[in-house]
Amino acid sequence: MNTTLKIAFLPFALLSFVALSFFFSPVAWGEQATLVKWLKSGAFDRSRTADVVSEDCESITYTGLGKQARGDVIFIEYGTNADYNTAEKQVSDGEDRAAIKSFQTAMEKGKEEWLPWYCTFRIGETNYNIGLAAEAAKAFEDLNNKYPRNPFYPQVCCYLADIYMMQGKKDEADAQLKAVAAKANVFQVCWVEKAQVLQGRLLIAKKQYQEAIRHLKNIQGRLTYAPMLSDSRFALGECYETMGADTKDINAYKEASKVFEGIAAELDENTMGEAYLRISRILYNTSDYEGAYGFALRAAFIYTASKAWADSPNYLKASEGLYYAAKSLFALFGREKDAAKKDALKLEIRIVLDLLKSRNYANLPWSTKALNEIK
Amino acid sequence: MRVFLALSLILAFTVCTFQIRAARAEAPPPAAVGKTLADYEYDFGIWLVNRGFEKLAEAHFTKYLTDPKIPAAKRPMGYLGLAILYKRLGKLPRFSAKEREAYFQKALDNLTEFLTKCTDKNSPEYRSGLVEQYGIQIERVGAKVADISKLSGDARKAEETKTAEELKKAIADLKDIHDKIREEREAYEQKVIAECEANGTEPPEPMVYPEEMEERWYMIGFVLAQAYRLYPEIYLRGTDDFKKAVEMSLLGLQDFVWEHDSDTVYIYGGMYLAELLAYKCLGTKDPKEKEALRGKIDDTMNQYAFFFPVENITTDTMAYLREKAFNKYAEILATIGSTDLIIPKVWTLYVRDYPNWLETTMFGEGYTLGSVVAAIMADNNDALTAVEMLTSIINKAQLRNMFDKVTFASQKLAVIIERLGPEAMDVKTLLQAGKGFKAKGDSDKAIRYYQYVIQKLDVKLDEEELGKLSPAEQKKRRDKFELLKKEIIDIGVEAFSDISECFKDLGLTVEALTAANEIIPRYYSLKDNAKDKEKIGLLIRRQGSVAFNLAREVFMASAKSDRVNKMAAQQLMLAIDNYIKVDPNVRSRMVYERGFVHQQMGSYLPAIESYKTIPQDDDKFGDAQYNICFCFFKLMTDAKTANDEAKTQEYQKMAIDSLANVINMERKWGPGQEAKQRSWERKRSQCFVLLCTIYNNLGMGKELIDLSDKWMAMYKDLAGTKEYKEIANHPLSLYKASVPAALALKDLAKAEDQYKSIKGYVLAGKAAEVAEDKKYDVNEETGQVMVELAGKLAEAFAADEAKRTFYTHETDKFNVVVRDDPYDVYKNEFMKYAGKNDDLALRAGRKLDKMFDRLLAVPFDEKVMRSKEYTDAIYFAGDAAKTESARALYSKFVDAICGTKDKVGNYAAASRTLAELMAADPESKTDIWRKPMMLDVKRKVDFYNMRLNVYKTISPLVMKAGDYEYAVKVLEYVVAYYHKDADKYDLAMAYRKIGGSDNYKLAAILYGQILAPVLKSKEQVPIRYICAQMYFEWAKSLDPVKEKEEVIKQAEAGLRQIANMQAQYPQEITPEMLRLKDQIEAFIASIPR
Repeated sequence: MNTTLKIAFLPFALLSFVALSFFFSPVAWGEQATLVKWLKSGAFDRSRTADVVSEDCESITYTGLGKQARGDVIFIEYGTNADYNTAEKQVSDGEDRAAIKSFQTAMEKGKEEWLPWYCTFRIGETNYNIGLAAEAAKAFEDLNNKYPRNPFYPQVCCYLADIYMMQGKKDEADAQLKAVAAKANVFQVCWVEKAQVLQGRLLIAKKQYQEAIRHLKNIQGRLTYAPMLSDSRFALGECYETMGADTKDINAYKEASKVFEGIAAELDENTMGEAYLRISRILYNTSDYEGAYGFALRAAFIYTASKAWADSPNYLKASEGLYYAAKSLFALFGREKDAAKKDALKLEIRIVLDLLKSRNYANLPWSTKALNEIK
Repeated sequence: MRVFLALSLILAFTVCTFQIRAARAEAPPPAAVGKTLADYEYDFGIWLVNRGFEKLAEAHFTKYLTDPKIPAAKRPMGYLGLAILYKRLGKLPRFSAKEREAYFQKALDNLTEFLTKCTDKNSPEYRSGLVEQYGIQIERVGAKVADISKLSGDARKAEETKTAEELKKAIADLKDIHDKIREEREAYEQKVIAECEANGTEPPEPMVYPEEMEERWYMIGFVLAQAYRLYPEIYLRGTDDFKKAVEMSLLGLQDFVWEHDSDTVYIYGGMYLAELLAYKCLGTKDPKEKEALRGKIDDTMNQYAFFFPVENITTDTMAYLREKAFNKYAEILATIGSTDLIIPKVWTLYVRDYPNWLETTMFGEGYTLGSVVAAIMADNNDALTAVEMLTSIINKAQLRNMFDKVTFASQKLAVIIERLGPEAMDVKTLLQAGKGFKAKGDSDKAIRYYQYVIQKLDVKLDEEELGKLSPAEQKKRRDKFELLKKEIIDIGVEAFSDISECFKDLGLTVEALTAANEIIPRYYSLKDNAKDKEKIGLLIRRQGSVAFNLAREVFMASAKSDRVNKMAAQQLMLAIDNYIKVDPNVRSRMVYERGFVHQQMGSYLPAIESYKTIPQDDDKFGDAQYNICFCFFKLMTDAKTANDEAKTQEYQKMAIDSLANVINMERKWGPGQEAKQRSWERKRSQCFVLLCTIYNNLGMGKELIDLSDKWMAMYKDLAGTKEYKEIANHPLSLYKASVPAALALKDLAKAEDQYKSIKGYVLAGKAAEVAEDKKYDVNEETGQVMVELAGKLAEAFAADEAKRTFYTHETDKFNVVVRDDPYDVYKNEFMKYAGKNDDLALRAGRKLDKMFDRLLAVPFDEKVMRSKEYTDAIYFAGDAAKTESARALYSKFVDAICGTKDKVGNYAAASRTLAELMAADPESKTDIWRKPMMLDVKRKVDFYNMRLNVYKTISPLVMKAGDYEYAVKVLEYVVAYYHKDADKYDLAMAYRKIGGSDNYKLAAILYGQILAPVLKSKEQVPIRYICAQMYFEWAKSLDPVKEKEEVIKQAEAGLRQIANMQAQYPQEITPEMLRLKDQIEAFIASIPR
């Protein structure tokens, strides 16, 4: 998966986490259901329960309350469909491919109105999370084309924009973001803000760096969701970094590093790992291999052992850190003349490569890349 | 913290070390508000230790001790980190005993330092540090135990005594601490009771102790239990000392484990006790005592390890340990020779407690136990159940990413299957075996077993054989056979499906296709007789789709390689027929596919017949209609090639009619049919292009012009939209033909109209006119067509200066071809093909080489570069040290790029040094960068590097291509740079191939260079043989009359080479060499004297 887009995963990853963290109360359509809200702080809240009569991307209707704005409700938990619950359980157990099949089965067998929305959405999301962008895009396109009322409409637009950017389809990405912007007053604020951040990323993809910097700095003051603010900061750093790579401007790299160091210094485990990764990549690309090695390992540490990630480690991201660690060590090895020091470096390279071959990392794209590149 | 503890415990248990304490000490609980930088840094250091990054960890903790970002009060934690690091190093077997001992000592020293400098003596870190001391001691003993096992005799005895003393001392200390904590707990309990009495409330039941106290209580218990377990390991098994140690450990453990009935020490302790009892059991020969001990082992496991009922367990650690205990129990029973009791005593209990073990087992403990049990079942002649169980385990473990468990179960499965042999296995077991190997990813083996399944599908009961059995056995066999018969269809379908998948996994698409195609004719009509009709129906339908897709893949691959083969077509036709049979919903799509296969095979008439049956509402209608036209077109061109005028006319008419029919077809579209409409219009636009080709070939100018106009009228607006971007270039083809057609008709006004029309189209939404030195905003492809058309018009208006000038300018404005820097183009091409495509790499390399001659025409001039003017240009105001170091770098750079007396230039080093120099002056402030030699220096260095790279890569290719003149140029450079013998041989050969005395001399010099280092060894023999060949070749190349003396001289030089070898190394002389000698002698004799 393209690294450029990884930070865009963050809120999505959090959302997936929410979806799979909550278990389903035994409610039926039209009965009491649990609403999951995404608070501006980035935390999730499921304090509200209500009778859900219907839901769509622009409004949600509860018995007794009539039509009301969705506000920050991002997920409604129904617990009535056993097949769907099985699929969710599989997601939470990390059995993603099995879950995709189960979502399909649930959709084929079930009759509830929400099932095709939720199942297609989760198929798209699960595919996205395991890196199958084309399959994810297909599910998301299906969802928004077939069910334009589906409650995930703006979120799906953001997902699609993200995937299209990754595939280089900039016009298509732009169209998705515009679709969200066009109804900015109606859609949930979080996705409107997400779309704004993605717009910045799109400018980066189009190599319009100065515009991107202006746009990102401009929206930063207006973003109300903490994860979006963080995302926009990453985008800003990424913009400088891409600019550095594109124009060979060392100062742009320095600016980028400064942005990421600022993020890491906040000690927020949700963003620290990514910030370390970026710093490591910048240092590697500017030939500061020793620095790159240290930061790369820090990233791997945060993604596997820090409090926020220890329960469900993100091996994909950690493997990216280990990739840069291995590459940096390899570069140092090539540079070293002293035989004893060379041996010590060889040992460390072996440790990193063994880690990448181990159960949790084996066959991840970064692991494969590292193992192919370092022989 | 709890989770961390749980994971740490699991790790600790698994590796049977004292990691748990370390983990406690290693990971202080996060601060109440959130972790500080100091916490992160400490945790990161510990992570480095645990992952084996020892060097980095050591540097990290050393820095931690003085890092200004870490609060002073926290810095002593660095010592704790170092202690943990050195303890780990002390355990590593890659170090010698002496080194390990030194590491343990360093660990203790650092721990002491930590305990001394830690300001908060009540902190959990400090308290765990206190216990850690003993942890290190015990690890030290553990390391020694491993060393002791290598000793014998008195040396061992002495070491045993010493180590035992150390451990006993540690145990005594630990017991003291344990006693003290017990007293603390009792005091606390009394205090709580007193408070409750004073308040008139009931004391809590069970008593709740402060968390910190509980942790210490648990930690010390765990370390003590480990110490007791380790103690007997010091001694040789079976000796009296060992037995005494076992007794001591048993007593010691029993003395305190019972006190831990609320934590995991209770489970650990139970397992250790059972292990010690097993040692005792192995050591006795008395059957009664043995029996009693077996009973005790059972009691101990039940009393301790399984004490907590499964439903009362609330923590993950406890739950995991309880499962782990079942495996330990099985292991102990196997150790004491009671394998037969594993199923009744362990497995029965396990499946009772964990009925959903396959789904729920933690960390795959159930999979390990299940695999062991399956192996026992196989020994008890229940291979089918065993194979089924192992297959389920492999499938489930695979899905849960527990690959070590997959491997373990697969190994067991392989043993069972190998032992049974396929002949002895019934068809169902074989199927399971195949599935097992498939799950394991061993597709080859899986296919073998599925093939056995297929062979056995038709097996009938052997009545004669059956007659020899008892009636009861006969009935049993018959019943089993009948049962199997009911499932035979299910088994067959599954086997074929799986075989197909396995072949596909192996990349054998054709074989996969054959297997998939086999299912439908075999089983479709029988599907209602299957046991699981629904599943088999689905599977067959799926195979229909799989076979079709595979067949299409094979067919398309053959079509792409221009080798459409009949077999692939037949397979695809068969797959299409099968697919229609099993899924009628795909009929019309398959009819289209059938037409497509015919078309690809050149059977255009049957293809047209198929396409004609596609109904209007089908998604493929547009494609079918276009393909009909295309088929007529092909029939027409084929007939023309065959000079069959009548057929040509007939098909031409049909092609034109069918195309016109599509172009003029009126279709109505309803809501929701946008996709179908788009597909139709795209194909219709293609029909315009096809018809244009026909008109153009026939010289039907007027029709061409009308066709272009019609397209423009129909699609001008649509083609600009994103949905129709595929047709955007179609008018270029149309107008490329219609403008010249108008010119041919001498209708200049129409030609101009046409030009305006297409120009308006390509520049829609963009500037319609631009200044003379500017370009239109079009892409290269469009620009080229427009240049061509404008050129034709300029030519046509030769007499009209204004128009001629206008159209000439138009050609300039549309000429938007952008040329990349050719160096980059060829460099990229070279890098892309080097090592992959020799021809293309050589081509790019030679192009680059031509450029180098130009780009490097002015080489770096060492004298100028070392001049004062240049060195003085490196100056950093007010920073003498930086100036000096930059000048030194510069000097190094000049050495590298220009070479020294002894060395040729080292361009890679030059590149590195230059990078360092540039890094030292990132903003190019010093004047050196403005000096003539240093302008664009980075690129120049790149040229040097690249030239060497190119020459090195292409030299063998040039030799292979036989271009010896060029090879000499390239190889002379490579030899001068690398001095390698292999290159010298090639260069000498190139000289020889070019010929001429001068070149032979140069070759002789090169051979001399190769020969020089081996003059005193027999290695010179083959070199001299080559020299002899060369001289002989040289002699033969000369004119025997005019250069007689020279001829004889060279031929004799060849003879001398062989004579020299014969004299020095007669045993190395080969028949070829002697033959050469004869040939030279004969040659000399033939020279007229």
